[in-house]
Amino acid sequence: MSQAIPRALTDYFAARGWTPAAFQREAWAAYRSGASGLIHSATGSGKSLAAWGGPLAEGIDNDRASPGLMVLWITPLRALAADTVGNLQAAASGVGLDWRVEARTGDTASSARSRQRQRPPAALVTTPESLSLMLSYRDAGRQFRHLEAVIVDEWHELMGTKRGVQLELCLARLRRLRPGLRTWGLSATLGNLGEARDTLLGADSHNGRLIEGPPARPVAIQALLPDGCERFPWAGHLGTRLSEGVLAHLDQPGTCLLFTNTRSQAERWFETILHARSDWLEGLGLHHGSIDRRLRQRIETGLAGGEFRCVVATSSLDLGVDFSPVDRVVQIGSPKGIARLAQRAGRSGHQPDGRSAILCVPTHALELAEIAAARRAWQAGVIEARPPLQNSLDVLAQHLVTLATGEGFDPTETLAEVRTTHAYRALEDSAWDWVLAFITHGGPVLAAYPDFQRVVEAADGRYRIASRQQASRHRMSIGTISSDTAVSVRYQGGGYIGSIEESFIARLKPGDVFLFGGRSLELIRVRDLTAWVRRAHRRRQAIPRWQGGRLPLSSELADQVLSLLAEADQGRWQEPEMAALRPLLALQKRWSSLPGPDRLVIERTRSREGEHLFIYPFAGRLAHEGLATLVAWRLAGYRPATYSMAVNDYGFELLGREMPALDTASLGSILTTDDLVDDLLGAMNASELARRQFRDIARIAGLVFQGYPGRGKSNRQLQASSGLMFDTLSRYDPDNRLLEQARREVLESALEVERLRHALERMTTQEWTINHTERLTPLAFPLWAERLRNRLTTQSWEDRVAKMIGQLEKAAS
Amino acid sequence: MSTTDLPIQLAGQWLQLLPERAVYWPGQRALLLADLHLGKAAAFRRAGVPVPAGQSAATLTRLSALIDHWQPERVYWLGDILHTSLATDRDLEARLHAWLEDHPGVQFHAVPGNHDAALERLAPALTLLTEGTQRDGLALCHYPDEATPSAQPWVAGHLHPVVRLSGGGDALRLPAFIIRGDRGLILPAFGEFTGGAPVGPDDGCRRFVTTGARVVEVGRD
Repeated sequence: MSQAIPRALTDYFAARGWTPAAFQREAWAAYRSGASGLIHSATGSGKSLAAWGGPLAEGIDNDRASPGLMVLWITPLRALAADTVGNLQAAASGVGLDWRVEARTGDTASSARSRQRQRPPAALVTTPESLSLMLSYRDAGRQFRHLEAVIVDEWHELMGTKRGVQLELCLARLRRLRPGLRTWGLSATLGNLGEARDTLLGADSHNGRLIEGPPARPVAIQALLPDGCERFPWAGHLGTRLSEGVLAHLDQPGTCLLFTNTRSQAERWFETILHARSDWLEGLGLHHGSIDRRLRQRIETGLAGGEFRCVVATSSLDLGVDFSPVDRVVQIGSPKGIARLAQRAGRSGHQPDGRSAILCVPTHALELAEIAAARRAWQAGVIEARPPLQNSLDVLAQHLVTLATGEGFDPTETLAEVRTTHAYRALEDSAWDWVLAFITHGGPVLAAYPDFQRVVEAADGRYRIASRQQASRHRMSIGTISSDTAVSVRYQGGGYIGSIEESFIARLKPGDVFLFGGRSLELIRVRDLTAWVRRAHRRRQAIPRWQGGRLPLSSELADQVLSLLAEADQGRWQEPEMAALRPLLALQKRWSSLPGPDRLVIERTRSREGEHLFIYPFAGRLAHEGLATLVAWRLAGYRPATYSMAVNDYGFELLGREMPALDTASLGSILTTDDLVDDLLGAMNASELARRQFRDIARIAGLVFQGYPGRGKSNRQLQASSGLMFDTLSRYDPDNRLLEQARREVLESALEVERLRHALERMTTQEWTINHTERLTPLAFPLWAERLRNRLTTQSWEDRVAKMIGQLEKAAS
Repeated sequence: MSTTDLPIQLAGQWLQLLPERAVYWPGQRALLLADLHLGKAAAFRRAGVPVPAGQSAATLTRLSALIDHWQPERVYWLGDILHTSLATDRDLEARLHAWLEDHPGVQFHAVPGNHDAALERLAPALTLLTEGTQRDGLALCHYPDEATPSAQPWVAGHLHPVVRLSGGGDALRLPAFIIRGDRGLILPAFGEFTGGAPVGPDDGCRRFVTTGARVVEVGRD
C-alpha cells in the first residue's frame, strides 16, 4: 500500500515552483515500504531529492527529533561533501525537521569528530574511507545503533574500483549491525544498471528496485571539421591546427567548458588559449585533479556565478560537481566512451530546443570516425557497462584489520558476512584462510613469518589488533586506496600549487622547467614528497604526462567505428565526419584495405628499421598491449628474437630485425585463444607489468607504509618500495596470493583479458586480409609515430615525423 | 666465479668491481662492501608488515661465498651493516657472532652508518673505524663526500645506486657502482632486501652496472 506523501514535503516543492517527478514519488514510496534500490537519472533531474525525500517523509511521519545518526550519505569525493551537506540541510529544514546534517571526511577536525560522537547528527555525509575509519573504533556498534539508511551518491564512479569494494564490505558490516537497513544508490547512465544495483545491495538484491528518472535530454554531437583533412594523422597533430576554429567557437558570447582527456592536454590548451587571447586572463580557468582543491573550488563557484568565460577541465569536472549549465561544451580529442561524452555534453544547457550540445575537436584525423561513431551509438541507445571487481584480497585484508582494530571479529560470522557482498560472494575457503593467515602470521600458517604481529586471535576466539601502535598505524593507512604517490608542488615561499605524480618529478633534474597549473615552473629540489619550485622565465620544456590519459576506447565505440569503416568501404559516406575522412580512407583502401566488423586487416612492410607487422583488431589500447605482448611472445617461440611494440586504440605494431613469413595458417596459430592466459602470464613475466600493478596492492594490504601525513620520513626504518616487496615475495614466498592477485589484475584491468579474448574470438569469424605494403599506410603511421615518441626526445620526434609526412605526401600525390 | 669483474683505478689503487655488488682491493687483499641492512625484514615484521624471512641469511651466505673465492685478509664494511639496533634483535646478534667465528682468518672492519646502532656488540671480532679512515690513500666512508670537495679520494656506500636502462619497450633497474668526479667510488647495496636510488647520466659521473654476472660501464649519453 502506498502512503500519501506528507504535506510538508509537497509544500517544500511547491514553494520552489517544483512538482515531485514520477520517479521521485516512486523512490519515496519504495523507501517507505522498506525497500532498497538504485535510482538512475540524468544530472540535474532531482536525483538527490529522490533519495533524500524518503528519509525526510519518514521523519515527518514519525514527527520526532532525531534519536541519533539515522542516515549515512556516501560521496566519492570529499570535495563534494560541503555542497551536499548544504543541500541536504536546506531540504531537511525546509520540510520543518529539526535535523542536523554534517560532514565527516579526512578534512574534518578531530574536535568536530568527537563532538559528532557525543551528539551525532541525524545525517552524516562521508566518504568510503571515513566510513571504514568509523568501523575501526570500538564503539562502531553504538554509533550506528539508530541507522536507518545508507545512500550512496555517484555509485557508478565507485563501482568497478577498489574503493567501491571497500564500501561493499562496510555495507555488509552495517547490515549485520542493523538488520533491515535500507541501501540506496544514485547512478548516472550505465550499460549494466541491474548489475550495479545488485553489486550495491549484495545479498539484499533479490528485492532491490531499479528506479528510472525521465529520459535524458537529446544530445547533439558535432565535430569541428578541418578544412583540408590532414592526410597522415598522428597524435596531437590536428589539435593545434584546429585551435583557430576552437578560438572562434569560444569567441561567441557566454560561458564555455573545454574538456580534455589528459591533464597534459589541459595544460597545453590553457596555454594556447591564453597565448591567443591574453585579454581573457581573468575569465580563463584551469581545472584538473592535480590542482589545489581550493583553487578548483573557486573555479567551480566562479562557473556557477558566470565569472568565467572558459574553463579548461579534465575528468575532474565529470564528477557530480553541481553548477548551472554552461552555454557551450567542447571536447578535445577522442571521446573514448559514449557515456562519458554524453555526460560531458549534459553540462551544456540553455539551447533553445532544450538539447545538450557538444563540439568535438579531433586531435588526429581518425578521431573524426570516433566522433561520428559516438553519435551513432548514442542515437542507437548503446552505452558502456562498468564491470564490478571480484575477490580483491588486498581490500579484504585491509577490511579485516579494520574490523580487528574496532570491535574485533569472529571468523565464522565474518566469513558469512563477507560472502553477502557481490565482490566476495564466490570467495573460496582457501582464499579466506589465506587472508586470515596473512594478517595474523604474515604468511602461510606452516611457514609463519618469525616475529610478525599485526592481528592476534584472542582467547575468546575473536581476532583483535595486536597493539595500540598497530591500531593507529592501520587507521593512518585506511585512506590510501585511491591515491597514487603524490608529490605536492610548492613555491619556495611556501605557496601550494597542487600535487603531481612522483614518477613525473623523478624524471626531472633541479633546474628543469615544466608546465603545471598553467604556469612555467623551475624545479629547485624534491624533499620529503614536496617539489619546491620557483617561477620560470624560460619557455616550457616538459609537460607532465599523467597516467589518466591511458583510458582505452570503449568496445561499444570501437565497434561503431568498425561499422562506419565498413560503410566507407562500400562507398557510403553518410556522416559529415566520414565524408571529411574520405581522402584518407580512400588512400588506406588503395594501399591496403579498410578494416570492418567482418574483416581483419594485417599489414607487413619493410623499412630501414626492419620488418614491421601491423594488425588492427580495434579492441582498445589496453587489449592491444596484451595482444602485442602475446604475439611477440608466440613469434619468439618460432624463432628467438627481440621485437619492439607500439599500440593505440585501433591496433598494434611489432618491429623486428627479422620476422618469419606469415600466412593465414601460421598467423592462425599465433592469434589463437588456446593457452591464452598461460601464454600471457609467460610473456608478462619477462616484463614489468605485474610488478607495477603491485604498487596499489602493497599499499592497500599494508605491505608498504606511507608514513604519517605531514610527518615526513619519521618512519625511515620502515621505508621500502612496493617493487622491492614484490621482488622479495616472489623470491621468498612465491605462493603469496597477493602476487597472484597482481597477475590477475594485470590480466583483467591492465590488459583487459576478456576483451582480448573476445577480440581473438571475433578474428575467427573475420576474413583476414594480409597486405604487403610498400610504405606506411594511414592506419600504420600513427603507430609508427607512437613508437618513435617513446624512444626519442620531443624535438627530434617532431622533426622526424614532419619529414616522414613530407615523404608520404609525395607518394600519395 | 668472478672472471667478469672490471678493474678500475682510483688514487693509483687498482680496484676490481665485482658483479656480486662488492669490490676486491688487491693492494690491501681486502673485500669492500656496503649497505647489507641485515635484520631489515625482521624489523618490518615486528612492526606488522608481513615480509618473509631469509634475506639476512642469504646476504651472509653470499658474503661467505665471496670470502671463499677471494681469500681476503680483511673485509671492510662501509656502513649500514645492520638495519636496526642489534639490541632489539638478539637472534641476529647471535647469528652474526656465529658467522664471524666461522671466518677466523679474516679481519673484519666496519665504518658505522646511519643504521648501525649497537654494532660494538660484535667486538672484538669486528673492529670499528671512524668515518674517513685512511688506507693506502683512500678514505673509507659510509657517506659519499658530496658537500665538501676535498682532494682526498674516497670509497663509500649509503646511496644504494641503481641505473635504469630502457630500450625496445623493456626497462631494467640494475645495481651500479658510481665514480664521482674521478675521486670517489660509491658501492651498490650488498644486502638482499634493499631498495635503490636511480642515478642518471650526470656530468662527471661514471656508471658501472652489474647484471649479477658481469660489470659493464654504461654510456654518459
